[in-house]
Amino acid sequence: MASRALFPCTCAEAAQALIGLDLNEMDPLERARLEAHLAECLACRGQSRFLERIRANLEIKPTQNSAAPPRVPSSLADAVQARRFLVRTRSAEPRRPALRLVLGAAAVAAFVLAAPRLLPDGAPDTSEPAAPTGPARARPDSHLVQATPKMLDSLTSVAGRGRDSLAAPSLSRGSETGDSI
Amino acid sequence: MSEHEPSDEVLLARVGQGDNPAFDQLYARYHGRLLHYFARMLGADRAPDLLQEVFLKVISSSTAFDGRGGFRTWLFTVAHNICCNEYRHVEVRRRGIEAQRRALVPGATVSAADERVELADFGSALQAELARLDPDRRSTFLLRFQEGFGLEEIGRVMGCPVGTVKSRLFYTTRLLAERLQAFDPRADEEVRHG
Repeated sequence: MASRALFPCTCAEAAQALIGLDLNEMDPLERARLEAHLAECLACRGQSRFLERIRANLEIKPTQNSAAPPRVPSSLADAVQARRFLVRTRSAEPRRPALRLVLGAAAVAAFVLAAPRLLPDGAPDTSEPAAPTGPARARPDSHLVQATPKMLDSLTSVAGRGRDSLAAPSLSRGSETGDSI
Repeated sequence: MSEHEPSDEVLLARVGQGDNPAFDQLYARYHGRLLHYFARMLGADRAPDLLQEVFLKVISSSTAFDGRGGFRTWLFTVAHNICCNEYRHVEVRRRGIEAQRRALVPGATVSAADERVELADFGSALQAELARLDPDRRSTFLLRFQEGFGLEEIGRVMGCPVGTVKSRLFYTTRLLAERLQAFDPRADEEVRHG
């Protein structure tokens, strides 16, 4: 057996161990230190024995009928059955949140599909005849600022997109560099 | 519990779905321990009612259990809280009874702490001394030495730091050792021959 001097254990450490740990919870070195101390210290050995006696008295001893399962009171069995009814009732209700999710997804899909028709695109509209070139005429939208090529260039340098893609469709047909809004 | 039996947490989840056999299994595992705990905390006559109360809470809160600390810790936390509530009611009743006693016997100054318990065997004396303890210290002691909970687990059940758990245990073991010294003949022998 290793020399006990290699594993000094104080009474305070022993008391901590006896209170806080079970012997089978200790690692082998800790257990060896404690047992070595208990072999030498009358007071700590007495406390260890006292606590073991308490454990033995508090231990829940099996009764004669311990093999048979205990009878569950009817009030508790009823409470569990009520729980089952509650779960089934909730599962039978219409799943409104799920329905909202489905409708929402359908709305988003419809919007996405219709978006090309609603949003302005970059392609020139060839359905209307081109506006005649020449002096500008008074137009209903003449109060709006007309984008000049310089403005478009500065915008494209930021967005990194071609000028043509930024040009909005004209209210009346105009040239690419002219009357676009 | 063998390896093939479902864990407490699995059974609890099934109880949440209204599974009676799962509840029966859970009840069988813990009803004895809880009965003893309540009997030592509040007396054998109250234990069955409190046992029912704790399992009703288990059923109603079965889906609220988040799994932290394990089912056993959660169960005894509920049991401990029930004890705390019961102590508040008992204290109110005790003060009322004490007031009645004083009214009937003028000048009586007997208090529970002063009464010495003379009992024949260590086990009975231990029960009696535990009953005299402060409820928090008694609960801490029972959770450690009856239920075998670790210090951290006791702290979680009682909502206090590990340091508080340790100090309560130290105090209680020292107190019990003093009060039950007469029942340990081997200690006396060692003192004589040591």
